[in-house]
Amino acid sequence: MNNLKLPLSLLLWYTCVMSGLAQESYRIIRGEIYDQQTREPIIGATLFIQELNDGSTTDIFGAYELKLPKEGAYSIIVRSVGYKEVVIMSDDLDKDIPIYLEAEIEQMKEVVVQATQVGWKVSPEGTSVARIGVEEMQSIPALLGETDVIKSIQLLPGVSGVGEGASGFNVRGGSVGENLALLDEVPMFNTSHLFGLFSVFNPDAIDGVSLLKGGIPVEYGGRLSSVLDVKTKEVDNTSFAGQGGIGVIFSRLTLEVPIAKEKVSLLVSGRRSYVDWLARPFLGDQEGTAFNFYDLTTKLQWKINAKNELSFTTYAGKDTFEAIGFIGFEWGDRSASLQWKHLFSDQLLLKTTTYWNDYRYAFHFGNEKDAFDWSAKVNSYSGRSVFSYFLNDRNTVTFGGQVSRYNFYPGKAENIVYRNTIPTFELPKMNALEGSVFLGNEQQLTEQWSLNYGIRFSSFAYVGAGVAKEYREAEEKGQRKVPIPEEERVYTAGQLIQYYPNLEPRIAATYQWKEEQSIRVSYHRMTQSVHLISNTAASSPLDIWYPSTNNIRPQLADQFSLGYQRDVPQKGYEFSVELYYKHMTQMVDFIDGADLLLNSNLEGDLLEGIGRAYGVEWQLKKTEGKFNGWISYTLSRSERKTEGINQDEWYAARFDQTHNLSVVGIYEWNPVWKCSANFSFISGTPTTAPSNTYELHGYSPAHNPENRRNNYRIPSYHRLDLSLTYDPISKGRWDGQWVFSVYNVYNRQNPFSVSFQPNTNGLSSSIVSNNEAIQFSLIGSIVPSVAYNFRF
Amino acid sequence: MKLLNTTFGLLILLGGVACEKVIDVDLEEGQTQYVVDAFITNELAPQEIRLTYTKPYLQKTIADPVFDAEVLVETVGTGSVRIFTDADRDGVYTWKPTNRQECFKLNNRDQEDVISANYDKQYRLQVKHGPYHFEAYTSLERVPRLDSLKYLWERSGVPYAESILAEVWATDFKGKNDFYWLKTWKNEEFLNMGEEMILIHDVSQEYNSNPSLDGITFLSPVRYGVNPAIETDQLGQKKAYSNGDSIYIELHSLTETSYFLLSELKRNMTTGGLFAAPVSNVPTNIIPMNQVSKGKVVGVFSGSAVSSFGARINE
Repeated sequence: MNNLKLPLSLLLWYTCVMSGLAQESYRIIRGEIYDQQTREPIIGATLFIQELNDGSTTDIFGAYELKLPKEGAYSIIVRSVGYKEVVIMSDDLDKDIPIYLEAEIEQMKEVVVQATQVGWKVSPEGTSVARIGVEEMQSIPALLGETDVIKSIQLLPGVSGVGEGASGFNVRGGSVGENLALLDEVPMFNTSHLFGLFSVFNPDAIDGVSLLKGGIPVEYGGRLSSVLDVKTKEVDNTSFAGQGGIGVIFSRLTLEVPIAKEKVSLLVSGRRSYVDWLARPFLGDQEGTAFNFYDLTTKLQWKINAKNELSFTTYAGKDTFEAIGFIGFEWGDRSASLQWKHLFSDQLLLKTTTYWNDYRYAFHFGNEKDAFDWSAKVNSYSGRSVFSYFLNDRNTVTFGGQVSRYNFYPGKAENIVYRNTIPTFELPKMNALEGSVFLGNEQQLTEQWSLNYGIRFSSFAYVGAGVAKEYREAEEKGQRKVPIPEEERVYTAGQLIQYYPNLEPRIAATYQWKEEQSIRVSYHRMTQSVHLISNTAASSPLDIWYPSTNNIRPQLADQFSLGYQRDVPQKGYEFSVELYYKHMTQMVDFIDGADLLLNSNLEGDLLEGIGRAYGVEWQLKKTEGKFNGWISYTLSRSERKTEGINQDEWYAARFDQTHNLSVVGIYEWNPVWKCSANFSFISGTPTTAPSNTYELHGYSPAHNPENRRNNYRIPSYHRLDLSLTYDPISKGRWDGQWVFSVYNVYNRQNPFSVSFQPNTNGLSSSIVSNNEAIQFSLIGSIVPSVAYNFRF
Repeated sequence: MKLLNTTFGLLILLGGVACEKVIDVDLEEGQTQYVVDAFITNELAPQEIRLTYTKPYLQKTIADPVFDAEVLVETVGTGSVRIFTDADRDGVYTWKPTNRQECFKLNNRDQEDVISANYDKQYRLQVKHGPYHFEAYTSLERVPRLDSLKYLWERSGVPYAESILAEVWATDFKGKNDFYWLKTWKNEEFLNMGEEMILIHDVSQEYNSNPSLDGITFLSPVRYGVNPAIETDQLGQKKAYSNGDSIYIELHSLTETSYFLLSELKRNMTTGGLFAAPVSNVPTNIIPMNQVSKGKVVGVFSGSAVSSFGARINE
């Protein structure tokens, strides 16, 4: 890759300079657009320069950038769906005075559309970038009527989940641990509550989310498959406001408190489940049963002046699951981040973030007499600066860097035996440093062509104190490797054990014509040095986060994509299609029967393989009228190949889903009543099935003589949900809303997993081989619910 | 991972919406292999080695036996040979020691912490059938005495407080890496669920979990391992102990190899539920001796010293 470095930097330099020289007769106007009432930035608002038949749109911060000839006055039409149109003369545009749009009351109720709705302009990023605003999320039927970030993005093309009960989400055939989920720039290790039924992002506390799947910009890295960028909302700094909801499983409350008017404001947003309280009367003597989660997001925002803004965001969330006081799990993230936005000049913006995150996961069983406690955690500390330099009207350069320190505690076990505490057994702490520097440019080459390109240099250092082991190659590939005692090396604190540098080029080119159609081609390389080690059907709270070491190299992915977008503005339709191909190397794989928990030789159970994922994603969206919604369909394949596994042949990855179809329809009778439906169909995911069995000491194990992996597909998943929203017109400050929903309308028992087990339950030991295939469904029935949401 | 799944079962009870059901599946067919089922002990009783063929996973009938095989177990070093024969042609090859002297011998440790040189190399099994030739090795390691059995009529915080709960007491030998297998019979019926297969490393069921756990009383999951894994079966029959039931327990010593193979066997049969690990084959210690035999055999050759304890529950 090194041989690419020089030509790329030259290209970057050349294109910047050349386009800078050519475009001096223009001026750039930048500013922001906000909702007049909520003071939240409006994403995707359009600014249309009538005289030039040209325009621009706002980004996720509500910021816009408009290119105008140096001389002359122009009228700019500012539009956003659900807002009254305004016309502003170019001379009145000022970066220090934001544009406030007034909500168009009737229309706002009627149109529940994607936040990226841009009216006449096709979003040039196509399906590689998906943005969902909270409004749009709320219009989709959800489990128990609770709007959910992850459940919503799973309805987008190329995104899926393994099913109810599976944490997280999968993007383009990648595993759950391959997504970088950011909450105000802090990576969250756990994204799910209640074993994946809800996500950790409280919809009341956020503005919207962006999911980046292809052509990922240089400032993001560290995970292979995607970036889920969740931003907490801009806090209302003019008046006290609140919102919340009461649901079957949990309730939530969010308060926005202005502390110093238009300067300092505070957001406090929390959720707490009470399913265990509700279930208590039915549990009888099963005391000590707890099953709950909470999360608390706070944000203190201080707009110091026009050039400086500070914000301090914290998150604390925990899931607790305790069964009859005997067995329990706990897991959750805690984080704090401080962000400083500083405008050096009209051209240079800096965003600096420092954060700390602590992710803990634990499991225990027993009582005061005999007990076993297992726990693990990951601590990360990081600092990151991103500069945006508006070089000229055609080039926006992004550059910066990030340094992170990780401390991994892969497992600790404490035992009490007959009231005696046995000395703790702990896998040694592991330390790592991760750094990156990046430089990118977003460039408008011509009216039709635009480019976004750059390079990211990432490095990962596995450092002491610690003991590094070497493993003897197994006699046969795909078997357990054992450590070589004489090769064991002890490292002191801070001493380098292994270093991995990587260059990650990124480029995306867009060709747009007739303002309605565009083609985008992109390539990116991503690396991942921190791995989620899991060999179970679903990601579980006990999956281990583990760094790259002297035995595990960082995983690499190169992705190519080609997309076409078309907008039919007269009819309110948008269509997009995108092809992608992803090639992955140095992928972490497992031997058959890998042992992950408290295994001091875990690395001996890991293998390195390659992977490939490819597919085509379609999306047809209707964005206007009383009836709107979208259809998205993905046809894809995701495969792995590892020496010693599956006879060295390609095999389907655990998340391979051939067909993935989502249909979302929303119909609004009037501003008070609205109904919506969504239907999902996902092909069965692969699992390893036995072909044979044999009789051994009265037992009948599952056996796969050809050593095939993922050779059987579980039945397909499909589900229909309906919801009805009653939103009476509020007379005072209080605005209430009822959401009635039915999840899994036709009562399908969707498979979560299929396991193969002998049924000895109730059979005498003289009968052997009563083997069965057992399908497990987490939500095996229709789930009706009602939720009440309010705002004041 | 099983505990996790059990726990999830409880979660499902809370939600009341999850379910498990048996489904029809169409599985691909794999090649047929030999199965060597060879567990020998130091007891003065007929020693049996069963030879069969593998069969399709969902086939409910008894496996086809292997006839006319040559089966013998040899003491490594001395060359003394025991020939196992299948007189009644059912695939079960038998050899019967006539006195204590003839029985398989214990492989004593010289010191607490030093395993003997012929650990796992004390006895050699040879199986020949047509062109196929297999070998395997094992040894019979030390086994502690089972001290006592306790019954509890009530205990909080366990899944079935109403029933009688049995607890076996024994103490692990000092010195690392003793491996055992606890087998239980209720009313002369072997507890044969995968979960009821109690495999012990020193004092706990965890392999390599805590080096300080050695030479003490077995931990509680082991001690309670003599109870049926479920309270009532699918047919509504009570499985947990009641007054008048007989309990018979055997503790078998294992070598590290056979402990590992049986752990994999247990894991293979007990995976399921939400966080199920994928199917992985149970490894074998049966070695193919020629090219044609490669990839043609599964099974276990394991030797055990046995201690036992029997009782009848009387209030």
